[in-house]
Amino acid sequence: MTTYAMVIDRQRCVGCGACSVACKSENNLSEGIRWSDKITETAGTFPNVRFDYIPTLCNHCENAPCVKGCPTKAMHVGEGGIVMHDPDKCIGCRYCIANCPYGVISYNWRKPFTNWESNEALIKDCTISPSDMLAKVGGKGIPYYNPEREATLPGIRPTGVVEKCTFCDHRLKRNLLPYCVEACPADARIFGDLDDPNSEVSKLLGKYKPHRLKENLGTEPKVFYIRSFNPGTYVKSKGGV
Amino acid sequence: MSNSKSLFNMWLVLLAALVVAGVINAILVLSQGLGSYNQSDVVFWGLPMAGYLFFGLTAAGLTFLSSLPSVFGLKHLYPIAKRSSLLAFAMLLTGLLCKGLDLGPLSTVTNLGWVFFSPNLSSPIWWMAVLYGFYLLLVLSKFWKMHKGQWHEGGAFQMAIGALFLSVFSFVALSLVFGTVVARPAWLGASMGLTFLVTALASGLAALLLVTYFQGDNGGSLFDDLATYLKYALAVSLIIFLFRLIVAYSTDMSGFDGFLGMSGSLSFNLELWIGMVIPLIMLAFESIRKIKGSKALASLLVLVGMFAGRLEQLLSANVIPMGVQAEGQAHMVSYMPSLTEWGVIALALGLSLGIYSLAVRYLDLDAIPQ
Repeated sequence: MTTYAMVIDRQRCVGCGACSVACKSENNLSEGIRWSDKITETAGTFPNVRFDYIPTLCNHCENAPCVKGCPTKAMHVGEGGIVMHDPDKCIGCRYCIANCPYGVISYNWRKPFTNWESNEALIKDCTISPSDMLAKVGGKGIPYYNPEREATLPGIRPTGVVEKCTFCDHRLKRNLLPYCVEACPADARIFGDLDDPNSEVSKLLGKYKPHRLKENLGTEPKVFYIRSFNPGTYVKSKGGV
Repeated sequence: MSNSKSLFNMWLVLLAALVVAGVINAILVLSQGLGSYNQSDVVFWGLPMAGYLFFGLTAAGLTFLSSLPSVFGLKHLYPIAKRSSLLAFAMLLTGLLCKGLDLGPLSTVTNLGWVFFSPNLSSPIWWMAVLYGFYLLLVLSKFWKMHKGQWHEGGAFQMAIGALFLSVFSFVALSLVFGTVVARPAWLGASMGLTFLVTALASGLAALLLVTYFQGDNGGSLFDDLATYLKYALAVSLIIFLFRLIVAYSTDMSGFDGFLGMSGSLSFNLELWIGMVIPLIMLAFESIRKIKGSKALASLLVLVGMFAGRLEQLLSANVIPMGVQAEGQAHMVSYMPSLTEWGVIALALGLSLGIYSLAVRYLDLDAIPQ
């Protein structure tokens, strides 16, 4: 049995957003759709302010409320415990969005990538139009279209269905890491098998006390966060009254 | 006589215009998807879903009322049985239409077949979809039996019992759809079922009173009885609304922020004042109740308020962005339905009133058992 999980080391994460950019291009995500995202939080009052950056993605919960609530099993648990979505079975009810406490499921409200259908040049008499560009490179909907995504899902998901992170299941099938993990320049994302005690994720979870988002809801997320970014130090004292 | 006939024809023309505009709108939605709705991944259910709740729950209230004489033996209510049964069918049909136009383009709607081929029994939405499907069939069959004069034969009683049970079960499934969403406490968990139960009865009674008034049958004791029932249903609805308000103001749970934030909104105030307080006052005081048309006006206000209330109930749990959706968003997002969304409601209203109006003319809705 394999149970895929991700550990995000917030000490290493520099908040560059490379994970989100990599995800967008790997999975052909349309405008407004983000499978990989981040929560930024500030605490304190200037000048004593702290800035927190929490990378997010689908948590592939053990007790996934989106899976439980999906009327047609379009949202289902696939190989390796990955929460997958089958757009061919999706009835567009958006109950998974209602149920997901993390806000990581997106609905395709509009036809994707319509901006690439435009015949108007970005700069008149200087550049070619988006549609000319598309015709020139032969992309499907977008010039930077990744055909490898088609291995397990439609390359671009149609209007009227939801979509979300799949832990790059199409890459896992080829023994490649999810692309956000691969693209992270700080190696802040560590991916592996929770059931293998010798995997990197198991070792890290044994070494550091992890936390998960909204654990009180009992969803048992499989995205774990360890450590916390803090390069500072302070002068030892007992405070005062 | 001819004057009333021309008025009726004008009314039909008006309804036909609503239906035509709605159908054009529906074609747009089915061909292009929900892009013209002012909804987002934050406000993912809006006006069409509120329409579904309103029409669906009003139908549940009407089904209960139509079952009172045949199932519970309240024989003095027979004159409203056929009328409420037909109205329940019209409301339910248009409610389901609202939901259908809230799914997406035709390519998504055709995936509904998977409800039968790939059922998920742990999903409240699955139960809701299946039960509402059977409920619609049974309500229609029940009406047909009444229309054929077979009030007590050929399985009519069983059909009435079945329709009542299905209305209850589908209503329970609908309550579970909201009540089981642990991420959104503003939907009140199991208490949402109680809210739906009482308000469904109130809106069903209001709808019945209103159509009864316009049929000219508004002076008798039956009309007064219905108004009294509505008064009590409104009183309980108001108590439950106040209970929600107290919970929201006294809890520390951030999930209620949306409900509190909406307390200044139009839908919230329409629900409270127009939908409950004012009609309750109108029905509670005899001096107001005696004014001609006051009960019908109170019923109309209830329906307007209850419709706004369905929208308020939906929005209270989804105007506050969830999790990562909050990034770059205001603490509470605003939502103003688009013309296309109003078009769905126009279609539902035109169709339900059209079906009822034609039935009044051709199907003798005042019939009672021999």
